[in-house]
Amino acid sequence: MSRITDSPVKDGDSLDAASLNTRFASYTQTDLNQFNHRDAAHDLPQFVNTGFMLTHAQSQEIGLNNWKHSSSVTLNGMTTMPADASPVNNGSGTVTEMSFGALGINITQDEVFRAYWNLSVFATAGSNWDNASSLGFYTFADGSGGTKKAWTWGAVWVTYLEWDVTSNSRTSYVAVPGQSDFKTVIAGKYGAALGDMQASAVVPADLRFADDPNAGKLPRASILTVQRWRGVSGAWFYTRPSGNVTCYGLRVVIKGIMHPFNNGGNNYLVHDTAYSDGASLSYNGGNLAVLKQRVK
Amino acid sequence: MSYTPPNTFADGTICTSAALEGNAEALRVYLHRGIVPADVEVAKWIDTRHIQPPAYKPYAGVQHGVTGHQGGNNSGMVRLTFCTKYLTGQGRAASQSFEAIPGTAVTIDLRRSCTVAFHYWYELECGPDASTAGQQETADNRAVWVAPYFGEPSTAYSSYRGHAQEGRTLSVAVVPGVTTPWETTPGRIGAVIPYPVGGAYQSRDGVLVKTSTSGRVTFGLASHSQIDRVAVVNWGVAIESFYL
Repeated sequence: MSRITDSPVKDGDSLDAASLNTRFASYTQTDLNQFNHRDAAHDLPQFVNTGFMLTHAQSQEIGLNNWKHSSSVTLNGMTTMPADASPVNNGSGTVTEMSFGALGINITQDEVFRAYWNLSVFATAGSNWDNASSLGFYTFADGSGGTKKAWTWGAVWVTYLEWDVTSNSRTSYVAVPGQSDFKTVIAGKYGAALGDMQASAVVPADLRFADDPNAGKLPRASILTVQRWRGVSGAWFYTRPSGNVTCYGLRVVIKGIMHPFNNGGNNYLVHDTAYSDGASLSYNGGNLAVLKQRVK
Repeated sequence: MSYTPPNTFADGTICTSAALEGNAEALRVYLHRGIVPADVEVAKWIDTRHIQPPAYKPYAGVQHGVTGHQGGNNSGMVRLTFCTKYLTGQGRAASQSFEAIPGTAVTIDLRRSCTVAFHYWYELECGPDASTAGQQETADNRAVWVAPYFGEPSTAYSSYRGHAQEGRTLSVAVVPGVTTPWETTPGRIGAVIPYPVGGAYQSRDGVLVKTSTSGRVTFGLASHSQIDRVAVVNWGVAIESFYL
């Protein structure tokens, strides 16, 4: 594309204003034709790394990079509502956010903005899973006239994305489009509808299983297994419906402990403050990567 | 709107580099984002046969076109591969070496400098490993880390260990009356508790975004294992590269 067929400058040619103007005037409307666009195509060296298709790419580590966990960052279960999300940090108070610089990045209508993240995590269940108010706690008949405690295995920590689209000071992070901040009041609890969790990835808060269940009875106490270190990963994409938006920062945040909840026939994920008391989530390193590309 | 040079030159005036560059920059901007439908000839002058068809690279599983690569490989039906502590320090807690996981790499031929997104996922079945050789992590605490690498597998540690995610060996510590991770009753074989219950069946994924110069480059997965046998039951690796 944009191949101009003027004769090249040769020794002895005079370079004057007229010839110089001609050089720039050569690319006219009539040059957008089959030769310049079809025959010459746009697979030419002058387009190396122009950002024509991939308009922005960025990647960075998040959290505390200590892969063998000699130290880690620990987040306690949230019990005071409505709770603010905890941004993933390096353990020394520095939020490991992704900054897009003083000018930010401009996401336009014909672009898709993609984000991927992962994090190494370790959930500790605490001891309030069988609190009467815990959303996942219930009992099973034990077959001997009594009951045994059981658990839904539905409690989770949730990681999701926040962005700042106000300024490079990055003090006004909010949940990204399609993602709730889990502060919606649902039957007295704080949470979000399932449809509002498009940038969420969850981590099981525990793993409790029935020991030797028999014919619908639970004759023995359930067992809490050890989850240990594991990974969580998430992905999110955004297409701008109209106009532009400038994004100055992106970060991964954590909330928990949450539990599935049904109200009025609708499914939600809400804070389980009873179970959260005494529970925690530790984390180490991970990665956050974004790609912004033109789609038409 | 058609291209209009911002600077017009006149005889007898100084021709500055800024003016020349300004015209060139305005042209670049116009070509990239300024062309509107009215600028283009109405008559049809391009057909699908004029568009460079992508070439399919069967071994890497990618297609390569004007704008870059797209595609990848996966484990398919049965294409099990493994990690093992016998290549990465014999289970010593102090070891930090990474070795490539066989089969999980993609090598592509980049024609020019570009940005590459390497997508990967894998499912691990870890252990059991109750060996008692010295200098090892305790049997219940042995782990395997998987990280992406670019170029050499050693970069999984030197450059990308922050991406590492892990799985832990089959644990029996929580099950009453169970002392070994495998069946010891005559006539029974295999693990004594299910891998998901023992925390040893794990699914992980990640994305590595990297710029690269032209040439043949390899993206793959490498592991550091403290467990004698980790089956990578299912896996997938995929590439997106962007020249433009």
